[in-house]
Amino acid sequence: MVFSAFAGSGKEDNEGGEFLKYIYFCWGSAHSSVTAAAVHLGHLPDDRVPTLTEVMAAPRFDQTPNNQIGTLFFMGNDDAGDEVYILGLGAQYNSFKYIVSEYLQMLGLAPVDYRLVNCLPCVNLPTRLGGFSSRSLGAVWFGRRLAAWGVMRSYSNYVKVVRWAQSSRQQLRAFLDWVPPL
Amino acid sequence: MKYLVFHSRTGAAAIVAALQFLGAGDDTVAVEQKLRSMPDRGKFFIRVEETDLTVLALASGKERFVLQHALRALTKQFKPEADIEMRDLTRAEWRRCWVWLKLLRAGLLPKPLCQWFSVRLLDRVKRTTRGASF
Repeated sequence: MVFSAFAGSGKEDNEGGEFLKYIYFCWGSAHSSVTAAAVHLGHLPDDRVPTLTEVMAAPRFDQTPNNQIGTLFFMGNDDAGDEVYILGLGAQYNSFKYIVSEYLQMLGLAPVDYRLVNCLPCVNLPTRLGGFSSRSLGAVWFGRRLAAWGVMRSYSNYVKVVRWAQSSRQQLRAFLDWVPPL
Repeated sequence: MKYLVFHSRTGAAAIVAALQFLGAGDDTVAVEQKLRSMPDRGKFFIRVEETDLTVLALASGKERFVLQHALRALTKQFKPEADIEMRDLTRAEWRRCWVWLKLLRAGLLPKPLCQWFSVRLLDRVKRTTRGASF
């Protein structure tokens, strides 16, 4: 399995545009987008809440340093052959997501060919604090576990987002900005 | 295919630089009109596509490195044959430039001040891009 930046995207199979490109984006591409991509690709179960160890063992979980925010990571191809990517857009994700979408269209991708999925609505306070401790303060041992615990607490939201993204094959919109139920 | 992306914090200097690149020269009226009709953040302010060159102007806010990184990464992944060049015009904008821009867009700036704003922006962009390859 390949999950490094720009590696093995399977472009040869994707000439006709029949495969979707799922781009899960969040703040730093370290926790929420990684979890969503892991659920999408089957690295994490979608029928039960994973254990703390399982969450921390997800590919690229709590790995992306702050200087790599903005890098597009290819996480793998799902069962249908669709490509799954993760992207961190920093604090200004609200305006950058539209620029990214427009830019993708300029690069020749039609809105039906890709999905930009916002994973930030799934993020709760423990994940936020854990991510900050681990990535910004350098308290990796504590921060990683706190972030993983936070992911476990709101795991159903990640599963909902991924199912929603997977069921959007027929729609023409490229954006999926989910609002969690109150 | 080459993408030339002008970006600055508010996008005002990026617009001016893109207009200069496209041959508007020192036309303060064109600059003023373009600044007045700027779309909201998150859109390309200028997008000119020619056969082998696309010129873009956008606002990168406080996180210009993230945006540069993301656009380069997307180009490399989805159109590796394309060449992207980023022009950072952040230094051409002064500290309270966004206030002037906001007033201009709201139509609250008197005509002489509009003129002064456009001229100052043009001068600063010219100074910043002096010696650049375009």
